[in-house]
Amino acid sequence: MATTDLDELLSRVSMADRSAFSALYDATSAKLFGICLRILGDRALSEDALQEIYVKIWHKSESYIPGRVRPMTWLITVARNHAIDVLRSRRSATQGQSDDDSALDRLHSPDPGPAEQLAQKDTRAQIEACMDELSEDKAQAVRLAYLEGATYAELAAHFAVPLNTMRTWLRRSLQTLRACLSR
Amino acid sequence: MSTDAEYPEDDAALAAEYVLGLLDAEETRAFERRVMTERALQDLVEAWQVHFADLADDLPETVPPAAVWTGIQARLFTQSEPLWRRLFLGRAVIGAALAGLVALAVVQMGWLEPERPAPFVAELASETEGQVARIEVDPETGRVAAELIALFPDPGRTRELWLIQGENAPVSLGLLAPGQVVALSVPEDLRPGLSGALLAISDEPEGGSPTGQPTGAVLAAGPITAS
Repeated sequence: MATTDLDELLSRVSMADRSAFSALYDATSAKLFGICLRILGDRALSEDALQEIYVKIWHKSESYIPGRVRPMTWLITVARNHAIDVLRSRRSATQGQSDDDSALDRLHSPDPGPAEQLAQKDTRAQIEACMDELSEDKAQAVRLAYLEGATYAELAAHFAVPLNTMRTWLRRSLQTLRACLSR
Repeated sequence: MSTDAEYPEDDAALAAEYVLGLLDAEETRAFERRVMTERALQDLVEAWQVHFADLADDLPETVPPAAVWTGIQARLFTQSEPLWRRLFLGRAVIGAALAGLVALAVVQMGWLEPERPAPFVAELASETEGQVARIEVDPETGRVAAELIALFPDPGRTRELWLIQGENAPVSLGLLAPGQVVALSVPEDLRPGLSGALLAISDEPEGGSPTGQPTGAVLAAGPITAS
């Protein structure tokens, strides 16, 4: 579904329009369910998470600002952060953000900025290309953090390096990634 | 506060760590304090959100089982959240640009105060569909918040809400919108007799009944009761 259609649906949902909510669910639930399954790796957990995610979308849709980021970016972020929260609370990890009331949700500045420019273009090929420029284990570390909610301690264990080394190494990779994405 | 388009490399990495959830609780709080005031950091966070979300955008899609949607609806729509609050939210949402204007409008329309309970409610039910509409009525101000939740009209038709007091002819309160909360009002002279009066919904042509009386089928009805 086109970005403009999703924008329209989300703004109607923010006005408590149930038919728009139903249409939004039809258009996006397969993608968000796919993300839950990838992150949680368990069908029942993913079904519960998806339910929570759409309850959040219903309540928080007014914090989505059209034109700032793509609507799908906003939806994916809500879904990913919730799924990671579920995963981490099950692992009872102590690190990390406590819930998904962060970042995108709270950034209300209406002024146009670089992110707005990002919203206008399809950036999907870019991240893949830039991840390919990282060495394989570094790209994997980024994916583990984003898609599996891995903490520094878990990454350090996975790659069998000291925690500080892990952090230095990932920060450097993120800087490299940033440089590539800015090109 | 920096407005430079170029960010220190450290901040670029820090913003990414924040988005990935790699910072510990203390670092997260410190970073969030900075984000509140530093525009450049906000932009970095959003840019990372966009790029990382792209990583998830290509994952295979899977259609969820129907029970998920049923569960969402049960969670959101069976417990009754006060309609006044939804009306308020609906308006509050019009956009950041309009925020000042909206706040002013809400102050002037004092009845939109979200916490103020509606003294009277009505649940309009039909024999086949169960509950069709939720209505809240404030007999003092005559304000009505009404939401049509089932029996949505066919194209070219609409749903009209009627007030019926005793043996009197029905009085139109206005048109309902499918799935949305609308604000209507009861004429002043009818407000004293609201408790125990009936509300009914009829099927009407677009624009409402042309005669001032119900012309189509009466689809649902219910009494106004103290909440």
